[in-house]
Amino acid sequence: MEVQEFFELTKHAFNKEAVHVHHYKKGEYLFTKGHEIEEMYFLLEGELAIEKNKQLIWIAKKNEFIGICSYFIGENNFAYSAKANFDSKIITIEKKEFDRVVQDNSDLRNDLMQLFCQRIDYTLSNIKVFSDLSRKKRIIDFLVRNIESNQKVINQNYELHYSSTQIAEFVHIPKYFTLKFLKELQAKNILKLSSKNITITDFKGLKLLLTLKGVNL
Amino acid sequence: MKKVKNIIPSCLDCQNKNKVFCAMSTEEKAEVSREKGHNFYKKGQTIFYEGNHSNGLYCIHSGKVSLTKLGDDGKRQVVRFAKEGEILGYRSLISGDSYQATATAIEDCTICFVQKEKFNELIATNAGVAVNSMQLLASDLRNAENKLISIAQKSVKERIIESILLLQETFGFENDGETLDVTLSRAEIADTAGTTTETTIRTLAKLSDENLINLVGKKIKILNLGELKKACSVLD
Repeated sequence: MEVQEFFELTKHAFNKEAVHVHHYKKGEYLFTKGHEIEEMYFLLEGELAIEKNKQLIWIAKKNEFIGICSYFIGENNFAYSAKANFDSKIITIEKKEFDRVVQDNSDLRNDLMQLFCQRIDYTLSNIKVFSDLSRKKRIIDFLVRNIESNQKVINQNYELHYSSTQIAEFVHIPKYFTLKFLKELQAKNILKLSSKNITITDFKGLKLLLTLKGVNL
Repeated sequence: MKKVKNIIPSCLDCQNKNKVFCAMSTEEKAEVSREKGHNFYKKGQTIFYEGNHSNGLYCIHSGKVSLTKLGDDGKRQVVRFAKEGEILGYRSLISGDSYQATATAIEDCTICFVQKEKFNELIATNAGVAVNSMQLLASDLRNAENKLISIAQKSVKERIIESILLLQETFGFENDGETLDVTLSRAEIADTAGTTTETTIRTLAKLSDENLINLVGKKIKILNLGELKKACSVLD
């Protein structure tokens, strides 16, 4: 039953025998760099951080294939790690079966091509952010982009399920600096910090900070 | 600078082993060859602009091209370089977006042009073309991710060395086995490394003092490839 949703999403392209479901707890790794590629992954529920050399390179969201970059480059081992940001439900697909469907199914090929394009755009935007923006603006940009993707909106407030430590790792900025700046934003009533969550109370104000120029940003 | 011969290239006898088009049958190649156009571009000429509507695919028959993105502050960032046999503009065709970068000839080029409809038809009907396109996208993604890590974690010196190594990997050496087979200005190297021209000039001079490279006008000779790689702890 758990796998049914996956079959419906992928229009029953995969054979049932080659597909398995797994549950990962928050903080658990699906695979780490160097892990042999024996199967492909599909994220049915939750969120994954894709990391390379301690740098976050992509946040995988619901209904997304994982491991496709190493697969299409033709590597035998993953060049990056995948860690569950939240409790996640993962479908694994045997590599042989994935090979077969990639060859036979043009819908899957189209979906994968679109995913590659999204990831390249995201990475190129990140390069721009890292080259052009100050550390404070990098933190703001991360918050804004995550809210604009698919965060929960409760009473006009936006909830982000990341701690300041996780954000520091994502944007590659020291933890003390990130926490200090988030507290500054809290003092300006732009957000509220709790141990595991950040609630954005003034999204417009946050976005406005990205456009401001000055010594403080 | 190499002189480009003004010949009209045909896909059937093209010597450039392009990864995407290699998967085409002889009939498909003949059809693409009949329908495609081609243009000659002088060094410095723009092939397409970032933000323009994409209407086709560019295949470099000869010459070298840089792809750059413009930052909000007007600063250029080199996304990648491309040489003969490589294709440009495919990502915009696949995603349906406008061109994500500006392509500029860094030496005289002959470039073929395949209409958007033809490329989309090939991707839909030929699994080999689609899979090869995905391999290309995967490789672009890997390069972009490595660049992100480099910008986020490496010093300016390491990034400049990495840019020199990228040029060596992309264009190779001239016959002497030392001189990079591409001529770029200091500003273009700075755009590749994501730094300023002044810092690039200073860093190149330092690398020359350390006997890692030799600067002959705009040309760069790599004197010690192994040490250069060590000095920037190249990503595996």
